[in-house]
Amino acid sequence: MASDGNIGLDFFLGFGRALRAEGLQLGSAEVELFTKALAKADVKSLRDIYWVGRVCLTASPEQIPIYDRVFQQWFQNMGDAIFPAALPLHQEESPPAISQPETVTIEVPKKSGLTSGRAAASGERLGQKRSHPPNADELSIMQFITASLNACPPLRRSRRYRARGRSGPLHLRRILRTSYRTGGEFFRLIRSRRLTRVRPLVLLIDVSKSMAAHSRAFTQFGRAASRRKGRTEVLCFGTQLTAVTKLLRPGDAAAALERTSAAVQDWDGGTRLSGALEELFRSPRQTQSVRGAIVILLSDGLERGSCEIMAKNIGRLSRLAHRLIWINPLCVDPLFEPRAAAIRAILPFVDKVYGCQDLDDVAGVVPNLFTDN
Amino acid sequence: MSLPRSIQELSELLADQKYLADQGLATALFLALQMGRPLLLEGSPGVGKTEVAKALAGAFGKRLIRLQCYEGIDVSQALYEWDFARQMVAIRAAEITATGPVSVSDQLFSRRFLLERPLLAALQAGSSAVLLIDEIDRADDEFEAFLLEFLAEFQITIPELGTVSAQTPPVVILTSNRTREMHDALKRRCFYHWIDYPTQSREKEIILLRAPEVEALLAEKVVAAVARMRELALLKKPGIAESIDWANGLQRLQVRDLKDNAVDQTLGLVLKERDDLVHVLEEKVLGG
Repeated sequence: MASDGNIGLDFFLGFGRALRAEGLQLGSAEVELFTKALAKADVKSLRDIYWVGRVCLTASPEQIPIYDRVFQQWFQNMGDAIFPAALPLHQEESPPAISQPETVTIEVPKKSGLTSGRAAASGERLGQKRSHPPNADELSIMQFITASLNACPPLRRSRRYRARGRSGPLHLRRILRTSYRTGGEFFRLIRSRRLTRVRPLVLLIDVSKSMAAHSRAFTQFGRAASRRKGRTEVLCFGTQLTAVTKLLRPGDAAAALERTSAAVQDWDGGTRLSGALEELFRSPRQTQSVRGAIVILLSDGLERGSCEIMAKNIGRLSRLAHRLIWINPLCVDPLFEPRAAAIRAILPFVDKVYGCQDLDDVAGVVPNLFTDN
Repeated sequence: MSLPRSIQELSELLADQKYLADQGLATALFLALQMGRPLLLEGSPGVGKTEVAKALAGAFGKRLIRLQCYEGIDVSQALYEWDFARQMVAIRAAEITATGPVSVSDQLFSRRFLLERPLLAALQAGSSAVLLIDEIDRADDEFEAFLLEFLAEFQITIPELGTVSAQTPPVVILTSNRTREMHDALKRRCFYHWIDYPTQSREKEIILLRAPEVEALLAEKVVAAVARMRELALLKKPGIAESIDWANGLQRLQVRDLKDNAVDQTLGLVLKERDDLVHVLEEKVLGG
């Protein structure tokens, strides 16, 4: 097919351009690879082209629906002219783009900003919020928080070894090397030590109505935390879960907070911590980010819904995480007693509870966050 | 054995190794072999990513070299390490026999004292090996950056010994469970294929091929039940390996119908999380 010259090179280059226009990151190298691969694979049918293209041009499962759509558009228009009428396309496991075109045309409703793409459940109250840029005080506190997270980060032992330890196994490489200085004589046994690494940190920020007074401060904490060294994940939840790390981290603080508040769709709605956690566990990637991490839950824990399911999900979260820390604005009140059923369901699984209402309070607990027991 | 001439031929060779590849996977493997590029396979756990490499090695009589990645893996575990203990013994021995210092140091840093780790072994073996870099998502960023260099050049430099490069590059298969996003640069150097769960009929064929003693009717029921399980929001969806185990287990227990009460006792073969077990029983997926 590629060899008989019916379809020129330009046609395939155009296909590459069309994919690029749909947001696939393709350099000319990938497209060149694609054309070479077509020649190698000796393609006979549209199905063959589909698979060769998918192998060469896509790089993640999210890109596959886009690829399917563009492929269908591109080759449908041209298809009849080039291919003989009887194409052996309708076989088992034929690619979705060709065998069942109607299922592939995915009409994603254009929503503003980032959403998980999941349709909003009924009764969900979606809202957006305009964030006011942080003032000079807040900026300096945020800087303090980042600095203090970096100054005493949560650590874990790595599997890697270095020389100059006290009680580890012998560090043979170093012993041998120092022995060259003394003519091959070993005078001192050098032991090795385990390196330490910064533990990942996951922030779960409640942005529901009951937290409206604190969500600004807590989002700013999220921004400060996302700037620390080490793997950090910031997730906002109300009625749905939104990953905001990539929005919070780069660039100027005001712009980052603005981006985040535009992206989170459920400001001041209801709380569904349990549902948010279920959503988190459904994604293997986010589950993995919690594993062995320090998880900080910023929420008042006022939630309707079944406590049993809540306890089940919080339990799973606490088993996955290394430590679960709860920052609860209600706990500032010394007379506060956990009476709400949801709060009582969460408490047994939490390692430590702090009361914080604003950024100042947070800055106060951060230096001891990982050392207190 | 020479390279396959067509995708069809490759599929047949893999089927001889009891691995049924669909057209997408066969195309990906064919191109990876033909064009000497690494192939990155992603997919849920248990869809047979690792098995591909084994089947490929078996089909072409190549040696399978496996590098299992984990967090904190470094060059001394992936590439090479000097055998320090033997070097020390050699130094002592040289002292007794009073060999000159120059010849000792020459000997100390020779191949004899080099411990080959998977990547170096794959370079030495060249095209007679299939290098499987398993679960690359578990390794950390630094290691990924290092791999990038390795996969681009297929050569490494050992300071004491010089540069080692592959005469002909090995077949490289990388797998990832997608717990972490790979760097674009690494992906760009590889062909990419996403392995999905197989269709029911294909999965049945796989079970019958892998566990020949299972009856076809039972396999069909197992496959249908597993497909329904995968539709539920489970914490850990059963993979192909699990369905094979389950079918095998049921066959051995002489259970022929999934409505049988004995089936509940065997669910541990498919579902590895307690919460999932409860969920599946509540949903009455088995039809009981």
